[in-house]
Amino acid sequence: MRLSEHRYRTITSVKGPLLFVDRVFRARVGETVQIGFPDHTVMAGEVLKVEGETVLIQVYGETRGLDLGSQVVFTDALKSAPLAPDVVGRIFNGSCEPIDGLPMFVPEKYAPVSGFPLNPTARARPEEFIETGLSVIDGLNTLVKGQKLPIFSCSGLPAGDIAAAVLKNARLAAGGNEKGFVVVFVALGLAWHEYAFYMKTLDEMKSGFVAFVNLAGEPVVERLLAPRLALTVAEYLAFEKSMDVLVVITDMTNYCDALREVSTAREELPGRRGYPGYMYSDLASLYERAGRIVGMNGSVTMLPLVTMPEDDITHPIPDLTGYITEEQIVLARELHQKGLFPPVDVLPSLSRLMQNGIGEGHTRGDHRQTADLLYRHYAKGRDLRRLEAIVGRDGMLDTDRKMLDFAEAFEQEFISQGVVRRGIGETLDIAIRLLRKFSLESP
Amino acid sequence: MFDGLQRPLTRLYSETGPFIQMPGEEGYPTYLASRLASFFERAGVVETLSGATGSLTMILSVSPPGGDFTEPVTQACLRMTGNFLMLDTSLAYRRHFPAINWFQSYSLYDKAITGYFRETVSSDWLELKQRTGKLLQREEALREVAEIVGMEGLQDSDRLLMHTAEKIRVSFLAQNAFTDDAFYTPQQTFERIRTILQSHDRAEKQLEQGEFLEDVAKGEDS
Repeated sequence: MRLSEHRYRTITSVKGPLLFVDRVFRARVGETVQIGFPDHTVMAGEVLKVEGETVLIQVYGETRGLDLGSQVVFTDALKSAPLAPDVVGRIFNGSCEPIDGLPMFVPEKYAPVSGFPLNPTARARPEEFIETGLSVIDGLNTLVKGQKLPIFSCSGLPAGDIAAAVLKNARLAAGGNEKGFVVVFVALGLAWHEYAFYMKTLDEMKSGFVAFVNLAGEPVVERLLAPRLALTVAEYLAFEKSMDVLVVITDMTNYCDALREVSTAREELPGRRGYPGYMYSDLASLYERAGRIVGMNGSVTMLPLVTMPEDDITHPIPDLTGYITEEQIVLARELHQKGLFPPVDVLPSLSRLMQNGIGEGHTRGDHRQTADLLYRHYAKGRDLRRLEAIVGRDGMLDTDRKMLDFAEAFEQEFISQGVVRRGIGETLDIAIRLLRKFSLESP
Repeated sequence: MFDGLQRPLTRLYSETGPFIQMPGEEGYPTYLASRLASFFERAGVVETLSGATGSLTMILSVSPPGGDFTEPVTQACLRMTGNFLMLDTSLAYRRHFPAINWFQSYSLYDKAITGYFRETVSSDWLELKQRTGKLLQREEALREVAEIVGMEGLQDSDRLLMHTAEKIRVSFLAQNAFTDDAFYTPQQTFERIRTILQSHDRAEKQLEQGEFLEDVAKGEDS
């Protein structure tokens, strides 16, 4: 601990969001600094690197207008998130300042934004079902507590509507946590029209959410900070207040682009497509914060949205995300053009932890069997569509035509549900009705 | 209106050289996406201090080099804007103008604007729009089959559908910029597509009653 405040006017260079400050005495990596601008505004920053007496600082904001004579104050404190139960129902910007017009709450404690690593042996298996109200997720790619299930979207697809539907509908199946269910929403680099849409959704929910919002025109560096603040709040609510927390992060592509931008400014060697080589471990440090702990009631479940650049699932962002998370929900343009909502392509979508969260005691005994049958028949029907394009419908066998009709009906009636909410029972009933209607094998 | 968004951005491109910045994708600086985003964010509707309402709308044209939509500027624009009109070279070669591809183009404001059209034009707006979309999509699929088996190999109902889709493309989607055809009010747009779809419904019924496609089509065109 320092007994006096350290102030410097020794900035030697400003490069984008980065400052180099010289002749600094005992700075710490990760330390928060305050930068006074010539027009008397103050902005926060963080120490990235200390080399002898030279310190590299990352500024959380636009550095335009800064000059070399500006003052830098070293606070001797690490970047931390203020925590209290009052955080629920509030909206913050990427630096944890309230933007909903209400005063800042009184923090009960502070925790570092990087979080504490979870002891692998303390982790509990994710096995409790979360009902999202969407058939295609509940029935075929079930979300369980403590899981991370990204949604892979393409530009122009209604991923936002799906996230909003999950936000509104997600609640625990009967017999869940009585302490409460809360949504932590993180908006990264959103355009105004998307932001306005999410805010409307959150407003309609009235309570049960915490939002961290960084718009497209706001500082890029805050985009890296916002998800960490949000996860720290999520961990606090989950593991100290025993709540079930669903973290929705949109859009991870903007996060990775911010990571690339800052990395380039730091003159690091670029890796694939210019993204830094450590992007994998950086993403893991976020995604891996989801989970449950043995002997604790709360859980952190993550639902990140990724917009695949160029609709390319092999792009580094969806690729690395897919490595870390327990698989994905993939949206397809063709289904959207057909007017289906949600336009989820079930074949490449998969939830690896589904097995633990379904069946007797979680959803229903016939869940697994029904899902498997749907997959089998639909995949067959999709294959046959290619054949149909060549030989025409009339040239096909009766059984094949039946499969084609099934695939069509499955898309129209099971996948597509519009904005209505379906319980898991209803979802499975529709599936079984479809299987029987086409006199296919059913459980 | 901003024509040729690419050109000022190639300046950013050359900026990376003298300032020794590490280039990102295809030589563009890595801050391309965030810089563009903060530019787009300047569009919007605001209430001024005097209580009046003003709006700033942006129409930007981007010409991806070589028609490659996967290049960085196009991708950044697609991610940040809410509306995309794709000009299609194959439509332009066919002299179909405006050469806007009706499958690839999209608007994220769809829901909001549909409500507006339903109020001001007709409550059938959404239904007609979806029917037209489906019809054109079905035509696309049928055309692939027709290329293999020939038009004669198709069922009559499918041939009728191709006929209607053709009509939609030629007399609804294509507009001649040098005549009065160039501008339609939403009301006129609605009337035109409704007429086409109504005559399609009529023809379909006649087919079901056993009339020949040739007669039906003839009656329709006269």
